[in-house]
Amino acid sequence: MMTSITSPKIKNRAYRLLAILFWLVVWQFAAIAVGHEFLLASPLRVLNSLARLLLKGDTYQAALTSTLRILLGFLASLVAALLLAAGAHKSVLVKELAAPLVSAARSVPVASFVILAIILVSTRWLSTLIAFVIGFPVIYLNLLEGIKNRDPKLGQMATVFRVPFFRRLFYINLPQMMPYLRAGAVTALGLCFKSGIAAEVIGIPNGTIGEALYRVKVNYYTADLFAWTIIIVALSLLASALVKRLMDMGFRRLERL
Amino acid sequence: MSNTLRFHHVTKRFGAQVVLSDFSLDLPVGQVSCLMGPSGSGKTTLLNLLMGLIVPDSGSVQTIHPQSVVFQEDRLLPALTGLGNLRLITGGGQDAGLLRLLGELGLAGEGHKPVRDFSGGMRRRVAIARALAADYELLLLDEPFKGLDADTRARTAEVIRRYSHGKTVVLVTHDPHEAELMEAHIVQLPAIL
Repeated sequence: MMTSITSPKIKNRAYRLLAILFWLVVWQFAAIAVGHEFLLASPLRVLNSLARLLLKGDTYQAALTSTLRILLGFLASLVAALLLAAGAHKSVLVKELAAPLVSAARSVPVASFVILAIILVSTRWLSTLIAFVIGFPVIYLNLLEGIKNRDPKLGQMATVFRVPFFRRLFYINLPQMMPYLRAGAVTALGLCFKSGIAAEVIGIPNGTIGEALYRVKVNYYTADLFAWTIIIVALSLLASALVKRLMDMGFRRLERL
Repeated sequence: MSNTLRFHHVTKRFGAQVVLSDFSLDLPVGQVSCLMGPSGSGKTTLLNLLMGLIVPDSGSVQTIHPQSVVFQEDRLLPALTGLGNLRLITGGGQDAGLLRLLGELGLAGEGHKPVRDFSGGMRRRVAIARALAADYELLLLDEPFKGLDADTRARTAEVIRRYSHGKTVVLVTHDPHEAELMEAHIVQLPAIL
C-alpha cells in the first residue's frame, strides 16, 4: 500500500489557506444573497476599494497621522506603566493610590473617555490620549505580575554580592520581567489601535483614519469600510511586529555583559 | 572586626517547625570551618542567618562583611556567559583575571559561552568562580562540590583554598571527605539544633 508523508507545518498552512478561501467564498455568496453592494460589499469590490485607496496620497497621510498619534499614546503608556510599576513595587502607598485609576481605566467605556477628552482637550490629540488611557493599565498590570513572579533567590544573590542598582535592574530584574512586558505591550498596542481609531470616529479630527471612517459611515459604503479596516489591521500588525522586534533586540542586548 | 562568628542563643522557626532552638556556636575568623550534619539539621539556615537573608526569632548573630557565597543552587543568570556572570559581581576591567580563574577551575575557553549551554558541573564551577571573584572577608560555601566528580572536586577545593587563603570560610556539607579537601575544622551538628 502506498502512503504519503506530509510535514505537519505544510499541512497546517494548507488548512489555513483553505479556511481563508472557504470564508471568502461564503462572503462572496453572502454578498450575492444580500444583493446590495452598499450593505455588504463583495470581496472583489473591497479589493477594488482598497486599490483605489492605496493610489490616493490622502490615504497614506491619514494612515501616518493616526498611526503616529496612536503610537505616541502607546509609548507614553509604556513609560508611565514602567515608572508607576517601579513605584508600586517600592511603595504600597503608590500601589494603592494607583489601583482605583487602573480599575477605572480598565472598566470605564472608551466612549465615556472620548467624550470627556473632547470636552477637555483638542480633538487633534484625542487618539493619543485614548491610546494612553487604554494601553496603560494593560502594560502596568502585566509589569506588576512580572515583578511578582521574579525569582527571589536571584534577588538574594544580588543582595549578598552587593550588585549595584543598575546592573541588578538591567541584568537580573528586567530580563525576568521582559516576557510580561512584551506580552503586555503587544496586547496594549492592539487595543490602542482599536480604541484610538474608535476615538477618531467619534471626535472626527481632520486628516485621520477616523475621519475617513466617519465619511464611510455617512455614505453607507461598506466596501470602503472593509478596505479601511484592512488598512487598520495591517498597520496594527506592522506596529506590533515592530514593537516585538525592538523588544527582542533590547532583550538580546541585556544578555550581553 | 570581631574575631569570631557567633550564634548566641538563636531560635528560628519556619511556621510551626522549629529549626534552631536556643542554639549557640562560635566559629573562628580567618579559618575554614565545616558545619557537618544530617539533612534538615539547619546547616543552610545557619548560613542564611550569617548572610542576613533571614533573622532569628530570638537571640543574636554576629557576622562579618563583605561576604561571598556559593549557594546550594547555582543562582546564575543563564542568558549571560560564564564571564558575564562574574562581571555582574565584579564590574568590568578585570577580564584577564576572571578568565584565568575560570581556567583554573577547568573552564578555559568556556568563559564566553552562555551558561545555559553548560552542564551542571560546569555551572557549579562558574558559581564557585563568581564567589571567589567577589570582594569578601567571609566566604560561605553551601555544598559547593555538588555534582562534581572526585578529580574535579579535589582540583576545585585546591583553587578555593588558594583564593580564600587568610579569609574566613564556612563550608556546609555532609561529606567528611569534602571537609578534608578544604582542610576545615569540623563542627558536627546534631540532628535537631
